[in-house]
Amino acid sequence: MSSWISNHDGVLKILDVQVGFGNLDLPHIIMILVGLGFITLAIVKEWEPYELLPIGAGMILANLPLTGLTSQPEPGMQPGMAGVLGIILKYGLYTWTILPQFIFFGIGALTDFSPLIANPRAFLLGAAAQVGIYTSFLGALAVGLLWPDWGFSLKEACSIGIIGGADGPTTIYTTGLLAPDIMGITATAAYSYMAMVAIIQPPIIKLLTSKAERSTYMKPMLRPVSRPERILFPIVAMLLIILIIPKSAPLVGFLLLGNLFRESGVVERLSHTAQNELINIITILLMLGIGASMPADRVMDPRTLLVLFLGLAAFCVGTGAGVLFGKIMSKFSKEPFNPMLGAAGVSAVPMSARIVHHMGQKANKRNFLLMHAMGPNVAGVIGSAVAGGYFLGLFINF
Amino acid sequence: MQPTPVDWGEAFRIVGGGLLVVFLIMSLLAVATTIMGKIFTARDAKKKAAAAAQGEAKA
Repeated sequence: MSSWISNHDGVLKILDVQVGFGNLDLPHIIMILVGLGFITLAIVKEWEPYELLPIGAGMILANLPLTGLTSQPEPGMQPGMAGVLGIILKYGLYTWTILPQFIFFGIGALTDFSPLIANPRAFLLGAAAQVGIYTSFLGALAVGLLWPDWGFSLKEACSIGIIGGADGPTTIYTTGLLAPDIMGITATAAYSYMAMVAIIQPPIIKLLTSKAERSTYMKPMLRPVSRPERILFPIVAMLLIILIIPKSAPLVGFLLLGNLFRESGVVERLSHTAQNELINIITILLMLGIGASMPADRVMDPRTLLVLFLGLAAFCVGTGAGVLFGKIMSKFSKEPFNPMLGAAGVSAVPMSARIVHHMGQKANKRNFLLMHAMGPNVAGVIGSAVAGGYFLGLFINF
Repeated sequence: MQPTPVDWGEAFRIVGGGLLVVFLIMSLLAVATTIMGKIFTARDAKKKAAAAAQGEAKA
């Protein structure tokens, strides 16, 4: 032992043991503070706590120096050298990309598609709200015209655009395959904007609708949906979507498989597991992985701010496009149709539907739009998965 | 990463194709679901009518 304190190759050692403080630089400190901010938002404001808390924790762990937690396994690596977060990243998100699919499986088991089956025109609202994805895709490409050094590639533009679907697992899966370098930030943007639905959507809805439109009364009840319909729906939808866009199978297939488990009524234990234990375990792994995919050297980049801005723009345009499409539908509808329902087409389930419901009640106390809004809301989940599958089909050949 | 220059023709093709695919699939799903709904609603109505007729016959 040469001395009590030594510094070799920038690594501080005390009694020959590596000490983290010596390697803690400003970018790492900023990322740790951002992680703490996420944890604070999750605990104090209860903003998407199931997502933001583990993401914040993963971010902190990944930015603490010399831990080795994010070391990914490689051929020839000595046993024990790979870190647990690195293993989650490599096998859960980058190489096998299985985690987002199992989240979708759980979401499918949790989702009741009855409001959509009872009111199939809600599918169109779910489609209209995906316009934001393509607008931000073009916006991301246009960045290169203004600032050539910060431009985005086609694959990165797809990954940024998909934030507009407001669908975490679709964003993670698509970005993990197309642009893994920006996966952490796109996923965080998607979940953050989902948490901020109550702040982002109401001004856009108010801007695009009159009070008279918002107060449009709709009968609160939808027709009852029979069990055979609820069982057939995931099967028919799965076949139809996957036969047109095969690359959407990992997302759409698992979403609808989970739903089939739920609606079949014969695999109660499996459905229960998918809705509870499975989705909870996968959420822990996935969100820690997302947090861990944001080391300072990858995030401290001016392009990160552009990704956040473009993602927000995608979300806003999606909301606006949904409302405008709702207005068109209300013109052609035989029965009164509240155009605000279009805003629920973004797949932030069930937050968007709740916002529309609350705004509807504020404008007209007799209104009870929740069930009407759940239709486009769950259609948006399918729509964003289709959009993600389309992007993957352009670039990935399995 | 230094991106290659953007081929705007391809970019707009992607946007057009994407919107077309999303609206096509969602429209097909809407049609399929509507047809399914009509079939099952008619079947349920028939069942109810048959049950009602049976009840009347017994009475």
